[in-house]
Order: sequence, then C-alpha cells, then structure tokens
Amino acid sequence: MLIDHPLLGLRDSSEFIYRGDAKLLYRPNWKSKNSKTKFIDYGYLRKNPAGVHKELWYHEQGDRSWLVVTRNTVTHEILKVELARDTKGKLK
Amino acid sequence: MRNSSHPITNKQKLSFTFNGKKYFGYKGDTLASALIANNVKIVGRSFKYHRPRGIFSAGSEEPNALVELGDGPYKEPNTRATNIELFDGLESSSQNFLGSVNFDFMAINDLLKNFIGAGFYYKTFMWPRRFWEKLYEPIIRRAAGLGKLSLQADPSQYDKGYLHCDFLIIGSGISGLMSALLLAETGGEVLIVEEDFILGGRLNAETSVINGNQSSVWIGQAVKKLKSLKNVRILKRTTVFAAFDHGIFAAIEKKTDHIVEKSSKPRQINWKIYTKLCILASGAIERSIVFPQNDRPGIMLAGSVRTYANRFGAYYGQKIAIYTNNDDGWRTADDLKNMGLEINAVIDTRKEIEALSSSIPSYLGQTITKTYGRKGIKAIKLSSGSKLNVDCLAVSGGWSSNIHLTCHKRGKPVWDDNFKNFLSGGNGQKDKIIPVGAARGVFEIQNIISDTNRVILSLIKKICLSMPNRITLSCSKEQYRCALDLVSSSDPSNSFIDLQNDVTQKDIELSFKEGFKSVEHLKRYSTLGMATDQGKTSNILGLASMAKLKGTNISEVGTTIFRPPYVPVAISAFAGRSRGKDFRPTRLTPSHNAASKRNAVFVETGNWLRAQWFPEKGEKFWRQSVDREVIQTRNSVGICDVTTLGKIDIQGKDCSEFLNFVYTNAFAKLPINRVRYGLMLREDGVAYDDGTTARLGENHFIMTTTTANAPLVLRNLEFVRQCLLPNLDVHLISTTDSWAQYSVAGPNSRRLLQKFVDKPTDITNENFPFMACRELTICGGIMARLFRISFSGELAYEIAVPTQYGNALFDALLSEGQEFNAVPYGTEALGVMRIEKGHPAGNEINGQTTAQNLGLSRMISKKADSIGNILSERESFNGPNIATLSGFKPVQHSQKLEAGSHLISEGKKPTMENDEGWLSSVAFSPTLGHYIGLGFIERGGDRIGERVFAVNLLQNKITEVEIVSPHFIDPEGIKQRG
Amino acid sequence: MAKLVLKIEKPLNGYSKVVNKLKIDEYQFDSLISLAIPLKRERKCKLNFKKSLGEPMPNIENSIINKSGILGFRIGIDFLFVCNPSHSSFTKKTVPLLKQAFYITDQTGGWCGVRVEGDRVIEMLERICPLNLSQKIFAIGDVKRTIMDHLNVIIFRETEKKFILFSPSSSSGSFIKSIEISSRNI
Repeated sequence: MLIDHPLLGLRDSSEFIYRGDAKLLYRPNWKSKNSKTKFIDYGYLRKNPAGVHKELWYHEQGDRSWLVVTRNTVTHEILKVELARDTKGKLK
Repeated sequence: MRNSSHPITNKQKLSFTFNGKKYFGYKGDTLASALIANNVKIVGRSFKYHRPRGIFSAGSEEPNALVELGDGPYKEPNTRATNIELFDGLESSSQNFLGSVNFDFMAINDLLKNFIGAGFYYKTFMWPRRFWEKLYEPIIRRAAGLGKLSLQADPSQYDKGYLHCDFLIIGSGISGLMSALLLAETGGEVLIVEEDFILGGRLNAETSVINGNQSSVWIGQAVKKLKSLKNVRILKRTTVFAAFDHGIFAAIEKKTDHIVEKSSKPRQINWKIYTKLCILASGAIERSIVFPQNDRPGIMLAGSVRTYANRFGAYYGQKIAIYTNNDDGWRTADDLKNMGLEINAVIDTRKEIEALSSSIPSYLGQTITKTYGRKGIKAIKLSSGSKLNVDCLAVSGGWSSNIHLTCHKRGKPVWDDNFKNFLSGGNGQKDKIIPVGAARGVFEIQNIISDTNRVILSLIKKICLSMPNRITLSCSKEQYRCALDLVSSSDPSNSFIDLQNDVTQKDIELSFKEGFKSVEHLKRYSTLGMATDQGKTSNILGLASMAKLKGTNISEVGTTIFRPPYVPVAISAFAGRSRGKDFRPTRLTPSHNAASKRNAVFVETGNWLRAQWFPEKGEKFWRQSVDREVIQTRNSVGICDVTTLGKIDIQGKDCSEFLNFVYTNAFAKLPINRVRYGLMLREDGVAYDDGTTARLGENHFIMTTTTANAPLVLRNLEFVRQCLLPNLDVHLISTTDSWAQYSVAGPNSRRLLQKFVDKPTDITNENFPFMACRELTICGGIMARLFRISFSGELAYEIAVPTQYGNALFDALLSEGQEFNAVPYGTEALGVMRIEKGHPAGNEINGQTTAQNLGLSRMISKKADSIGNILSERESFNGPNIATLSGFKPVQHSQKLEAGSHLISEGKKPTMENDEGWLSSVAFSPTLGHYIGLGFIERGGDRIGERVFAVNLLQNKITEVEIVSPHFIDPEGIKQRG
Repeated sequence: MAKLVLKIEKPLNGYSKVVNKLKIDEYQFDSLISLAIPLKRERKCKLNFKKSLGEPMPNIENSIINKSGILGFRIGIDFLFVCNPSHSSFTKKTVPLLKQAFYITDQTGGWCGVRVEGDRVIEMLERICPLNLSQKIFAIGDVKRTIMDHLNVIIFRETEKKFILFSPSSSSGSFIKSIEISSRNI
C-alpha cells in the first residue's frame, strides 16, 4: 500500500511502522478523577471499525514523522493523511 | 507431428529430453509444442485417479501438463509445459506416477473412483483420529500428487525490484498494443508486461488479417514504434500474478530460465510494480465441455489446437473432430482444414444454427456420449449413435474473460449472458484496473479495435491529458456467438470438470445432495478450482453444473473469486536475495577488526555481531576464556565494546521536562556533566527499558538504551515528542552508529585512561567522581566523551570517540594497557560481571516485570506525570507478596544453576500453584567460585537466607538454592566509587 | 611516553570498483553533521543557514551545494544534514556559526557514503530502491530517505546518472554488498 505523506507524497508502506488506533494521541490527564480507569481504557480498549478508521503510522525509514492516517478498513482506501503534531488539539 | 513448411522449422534446432528420452524442437517452441510435434501423447497422470493425461491447453491455464524441470538441486516441480520456453539441453520429466508415466501402478485409484469422490477424505479418515497423522496423511500425500522437491537448497539466484509507471499494460495482444500506443502519446510512463516470450498475444495463434497483411506485420510495426519511445518499457516472460492496494502489482520475470548455460544472473525477478492505472489486456481463456471420458489424451481445447497449428506448426493428430457450443470452434476447423488436415466432424451442441462451413461434415444439436482410447483418444460416439474415429478432439465450451487480477481485491465478477461469460464487476478500488479487449468481454476483432479505442480515449479524456488520434485498423470480420451447453447428461462419474483436481460431475452432484450448494461450499467440499490452475478452464463448468442441479442459472449461482497468485510462484522468488547470511543486514561494531585480530568468537545480537569472548592459546572451553576475562578485569583492567547500546542525542530547551516524562525518575535537576540511571515504563506500568542518561549541557542530554530496544525506544520517544508533547522544544537523533563506545573497567582503568586524556583534563576521583561525565579530547585533540559509569561494579568508565577512530582506540587501549595486563572481554564476561553485581538486564526487564519486581519502585516519582506512572499503581503490581529481584546460590557449591528454573518452597510439589518465582539469569562466578543466579521470588527481600528449590522440569533437575542479596560483590559500591 | 596517535578508518576503506560498467566508490567526507531546527525558529534558522553556508536553506527533500563544495540537505520538517567533503575551515568556522541557530549533532562516524554512477545506474537501483527515480519525480539535487534491502538509506541525485547514497556505518559491509549484487544482477 501507499501512504500519501503530507510532506513527501506517496511512499511505500515498507517505510512505515503501524501503531494502531489514533486515540493514543489523547492520553488522559494523570490528575483527573478515576485516572486509573481512564488509563486502562486508553491502554487497552480499541474500537475495531469496519469502515473509516483513524490510525497512527510512523515513517521510521523516512522523515521519522508520526502520521494520522484516515483509512477505510474495508476498501483500504486512504482518505486523509496528516502530521500527528498538526492534528493534536484540532480534534478530540 | 510437425508441419515441415511452417516457418518455425527454419529456426535453430534444439534438443531436449523428456522422461529420459531425447527429442528435437525449434527455437520459438514451448516444451508443450515440441512434445506435440514429437507425438508425445501422455505427459502426466491425474492428481487423484492417476488417469493418463495429455497436453490440454497452450497457456498458463494448463491443468494437465505439469512437469519437473532440471536435475539435482536445480529441479523444479509443477511447471506447466505450455509455459516453458524450449532451450537446448532442457531436461524435463512427468510427475505423479509410480512406475512409468505410460504404466502407472497408482492407476488402481481410477478403479476405486466410486469410493473416493468429493468429501472422501473428510468422511473416511477422521476415525480413528490418531491414525490421521501417522498413517492416512502420508499415504494420501504420496498418492495424491504433484511433483517432488529436490530437498536441497536451490542454488539459483533470485532477485527483487521496483518499477514505477503511469500505465501498466498487462498483455500485448491487439488491445494491449493499441492501449500502449495510445497511452504512450500522452507522455506518461508506459510499462507493458507480457507473459509470453513473444509479443502479440492471441494474434500469434490466429490467421487474422490486419490492414491487408498477416497480423504479424502490424505487431512488428506496433512493437517497433513502442520500442522507439522513451516512455515505454516492455517486459517479456513476465507474469503479473497479484494486484494489491493503491495500484501495486506483483510480477514474476523469468530472466534466465530460457538460457542454456547456468547464468550468474538471477533466474527470476519478483517485481513490485507501482502504477497509477492498470490496463488489463489479459485476453480470455477457453473452457471445456463436460462429457463422458472427456479427459483422454488428445482431447484438447480447440483454441489451443489452433495455436499449436498456427504458431508452432505442431499437430496432435491428423483425424480431428471439433466439439463446440460456439462459433469459435468452427474457426479451428477452418484453420486446420486450410492447412490440409482432415477434419472428421464439427459437432455443435446448438441445433438452431446453420453450419458455418460447408465443406466440413457437421453434426448440429448433438453431443458426445462416449469416447474411446485410454492412452490417447481413438474414437467418439455421438448422441445420434454414430461413432467416429478420431485421433484428436478439439473442444470449445466458449471463452471466459481473464479477469483474475480484478478479483484480487475482492472485486466480484458479474455474469454477461450475451457471451456466457463473467466480466469484471469492478475491482474493489476506483478505476485502478481497466479491462480492454477480450478481458472486457469483447471477442470479435473488429469490435476489439473499436472498443479499445473508445475505452482508452475516454480514459485519456478523463485524466485530461493531450488527446491522441484513434487508431484505425482494417481487419477481417469475425463473429462469435456462444451457447451455455456445457454439461453432459450421462455417466457423471466419468465426466470431468476440473482436470487438475480430478473433480467430476458426480462430485458436483454429491455436493449438491449433501447440501454444499453455495459456490463457496461447493469449492471447498469438491476441491473444484482449488488446484494450482485455480480452475481457469473449469470453474464455469462446475457452476453450470450446479446451476442445472439447482434449476437456476449461473448468474444466480454466482462465482467464487480468484486469489493471488495468478500462476504458481517459487518461494525463492519471494525470498529474493535475502537468504542465509543475507537474510538481514549485519552490523559490525567499530572494534570488529581489532577483535577479529584477537580471535574473538562473535555472537549475533539482533543484527549486530558482538565479540562473545576472546579465546587464548590453550583454552579449550568457552568458560576458560570467560573466567579469565572476568578475573583479569576485576584484578586489573578489561575493555569491552559497548557501542551497540542505543545512544540518543537529545537537545532542546525542554529536554529535562521531556525526560521527566519518559523516565519514571526526575532528570530536571541533574547537574551538567553528571550521569543518572533512568527507568522507563510502558504506559501499562510494566518496566520497558533502562539505561543511563548524561547531561552535557543545559539543553543537551545523551540517553543510552539497551541494545535490543534501541530503535524501539527512539520510536516511542518520537511518539511522545510528536503525539503527546508536541509543544516542547526537543530533538532526538540516534547516534548509536556515530560513536564507538568502550567500557574500560577494573581497578587500573583510571591509570590506563590517564594515558589517553589530553591535559589539563583531570579524571581523578576528586574531579571526576562516580557518575560524572564530560566532553574532552584524547590523543592530542580527538573529540571524546567520558562517562564514569560501571556495569561490572568495578571502578569503570565508558569512553566514546567518533566511530572512525573506534578500531584504533580499541587497539591502543589494549596495547597501552599491556603494562597493566589489560584484557579485552566479550559479552559473556560482561554478563557474568553484571550478574555478580546484581544489575538487571534483558532477562530481568523482559516485558513481564515491573519496577516493583525489580526493587526500583522508589524510582517512580509521584511528583510529576510520567509514562506508566498511573498504571504502575494497580493493585496486582503492588502489595507485600510480589516477587522481587533476589540473588540465589546453590547450597551445594558444586551444583550448576539453570536459567528458567522455577522456585518452589521445601515440601511443596512443583506445580503452577506452588510456583513462587523463577531464575532469570545464571552464571558461574569465577570471583566466588560457584554458580550464582538472579531471579524473582515472592517477598524476596524478607527471605534472605531461606532455602528453596530451583526446579527445571524440562531437564528434570532440582537444585536447592539459598536466597541472598542480588549484589554478590561489593554491595556497598565501594569499588565503583573508588 | 610517545604521543598516542589514533588513525581514522573510513567505513569502506576507500572502496572503489567498477562492476558491470557501473562505477562504485566510497564517498568520503571530513564531517557530517545534522541540524535540528528549534521549535518555531524556522525563520531564524533560514537566516543563519544563508549566513553560514552562503546558500538558502533547502526545502524538504531538496539540497544545496555551496561554493566550498559543502552539501546541505533537508530530510525532515525540522531536520537537515550538512556534509563537508574537505573544506578546511568547516569545523572551526561554519559549525560554531550554525550552532547559533541550530542544534548540532556530529554524525561523521555514523554514516557511510557510496557514489554510484553509470548509464545503467537506474536499472541497478531498481533492484533495491522502492522510490520512483524518474527525473520528473526525483530531480537532480533531490534527496530522499528510504529503505533499501532492509537498510535505511538517504539517496541524493547528483546528475541524471549519478547518485550518492548514505547508509548507517555499522552495516556498511551489507550495504556495499547489496549495491555490488544489484550491479552484477542487471
């Protein structure tokens, strides 16, 4: 598969490492109420949608950027690719 | 038999062997065409019933003619004779027989046919269960057969490669070449891939006239034009075998298979092709008709009989009958007749048509009810009762568009009732694969020309490139109509559907009766279409048969989809050059040459080769070397290459905040020129990695990681930097390869290093105490870094220089160290010393242990957030009963310890319930003179002096051990601080 | 005591071979440093880069060569390399100047350079390089980082048929072997 890197264009998936659900971007506040429950949810619980999914990919053999890839898990179509550092704070 | 006036006979004569017998053919032959020309009738035995089989087709759809090529380690089983380009000296043989191919002992299975139908294995061999593996399976495997592997390593080379284009054109028939000509004019990069060793596709097998000439003239012109264009590339002998996401295709190129001499070049290349669009000009594949005894040698696809005659001048027989349900069968009759062959009959299942040729005896609306001739067809019987003598029966059940690749991404084919054919129903990805020509279900040449123009030009228009002119070609007019008469009505157990897997019409009936009616069930229960040919010539027959049984039509029965690979591909081609030692790259440490010079024994740690120990003269066992290295280091000074530890350069204004977050312990207040030990957890609270981090400046740190985790830690730190804390000014660079780093350990280490350090730098204990570090110069100005850290527990340093000085420094440390009896030591001695000192390493931080287990819970700062901080508080990780890192020594000092042993209290049985911990690392301690171990045991800290049993059930060993402090030597740390 | 001298060893000891008409040479350099752009300091870095090297700071996947032959290329949003083949004042003058804006990391020993040149260089690279090497996509002066034969490689196009490849020094033996095999195999 090919990932359309927002800075570098189409690059082969062999340059990337897959990390999974992009919810990992939203780490709970350690001081919040029930922080332990929230961290367990953060660490262990994943949605596994048949359809559009936001996931993290790391361009390890390229520019070392972490990307948020919006991908349809059924058709494998990639709908959007963003730098993780840019998406941070934009959506929650 | 060979037509002696065919142009192929003017070409180079080639000799080859088949089943040990020598034959001749010509350059331009396939193995199949040469065998036919030499009147070889039987080429193999069928899979299950061992029935004699002959060549059936002329392409990669071949179900019967699977042969073994080559000899010894070069032997290659299961190749299709129809795809093998003949070369001088080719050795080939039949497979799947016992005895000889003409008299096969396993043919007894044929008589047992009634007992071994569909589902036979499922039903028969399930009981008794234990018989399956030992008895039934080996027998079945031997009987059911394909070729045999040589069981030797394949000495041929294979390679991989990457190709990029805008337009990938699969197939070089008329629609492929037209597409290439049109698309090349857009200026885009065009890649034409052709499975055959000549271009032209189906045209090579036909007598079509284009622009008033033989089609070969037009092919020649088109190819010449394409070859002259810079943006066109042509790969012959290359089969696209898989379609993947986002316009990626896999193709296998036979690079030197057809070359006589064993080449130094790779045999095959596995290409990964990236394209914006794929034009599928893969043509169509002819299918058979189901009738009794329809698998005899000499019964062939009609289009293939025509191919052998037109392209190779090779005839299987001289008295030929054609059995067809469509117009194309008549074309074979015409072509063969024009060559002077005797056409006994055209039997057309269709009643309502008129004979398409007046000079040939025709039997309309009839079927074949019986055939004769076990080792080669002799006669056929028609439904009218008349019997005709023939020596070749050409069968045409119509043509199926070759749409395999459109299915690879789950595109479901759709039925076209006009031509009785499945068409691409989209390919799961928008417009990436565009069929043209026969692959698109367009069969008559005049329509292929106009349709290809239309499809490609509208495509070009859509992607807004400059418009080329349409290609105008005049040609002979063709007509193709097809009926769906595919299935016989009598003798179902002898009417074959899938020739390669020996699936008969009776098997389909059985599947139906037993409820396996859906196509997916039918396929798996009867094995229809599951052989190496994926049912290219037979799937439609099975579907038609099921449709008839269900009283419906094929479009309602549906179809299974094809999967990669389109043709079988050798495993070696997937490995490419990544074999043996080249499976992965090898990383060498900077001192590799210096260590080799000193006879080091190397060990693989990940991709690294590290010196494991340095045997000296007279040392026979590894322990002798390792013990000596430990003692010499502890007595004086030893040098070990520790470059492989990950080194990460961390710079930025917010480094210390970043480090506070990734480590459990605080780094913000670490003074410049000091080192601190740090522990990392995973977010789930489990210990992840440890190492020392040195502060070289206000905004500059050097982190070290374990060897194994180096790339992973960097990946995770980048994750924190970019995904969790993107507003911090932090930059991470791996400098593992940039610095050669050596441990210099032992009481004389300081004196040795003082010889290297440039003045006025002072490394005495007062000015450079334990856990100090600094940047300095050595040997008159060479930049270096010195760290006062100790893994061995001795007075020790790690010195780092830029890698290009590494080998020289290692040599110099040893030669300058001679006066102290300095010794190089390897990873074994390193391991022994760290166990003696009680430092945890990979065996202890193995992804199952926590800071609490390691006795490091006080390192988790509760003042600030850090990775894993919260979940390290979970109940199961805490409490009085958790296992903690402890030392162990055998009560009988002579006894050996085994890593992995479980710890059980006295009087308890060695069961899971009584398991109190385990030994993680053991070593013989030359310092103490007996075995020692590190491990984890419940409440370890409170049980010093207690005796338990180390149980190793795998080796049936039980050793009584005493729980001791994990710090076997110098627990107060006096030496390392000295 | 005699003064200790440490001899420099290049990763490939000055390798130079012609394989199948392809010229393969170790590309040697005096120093190779990486520059990291501090957070939100791109502008300051651009000015500094121009002042230090006399050429504008390149965009991502582009490069510059200044009049002293120093090569600078950018492979990340905040990350560049500067390679000095042989200019004498680089370490004493240029690096301290760059340090005023960038975070500098010396990586001279970390990388091995190989220059490959020849009519069939693209065919050779096709065997290991997943990137599209068409000049429309990968122009002269472009630089990309990718994976070749399991190795991390930075590839820089000098001319149509001449490239410099950088790969980690510890695996330089596997790297040169991979290039040799690719050259032999075409």
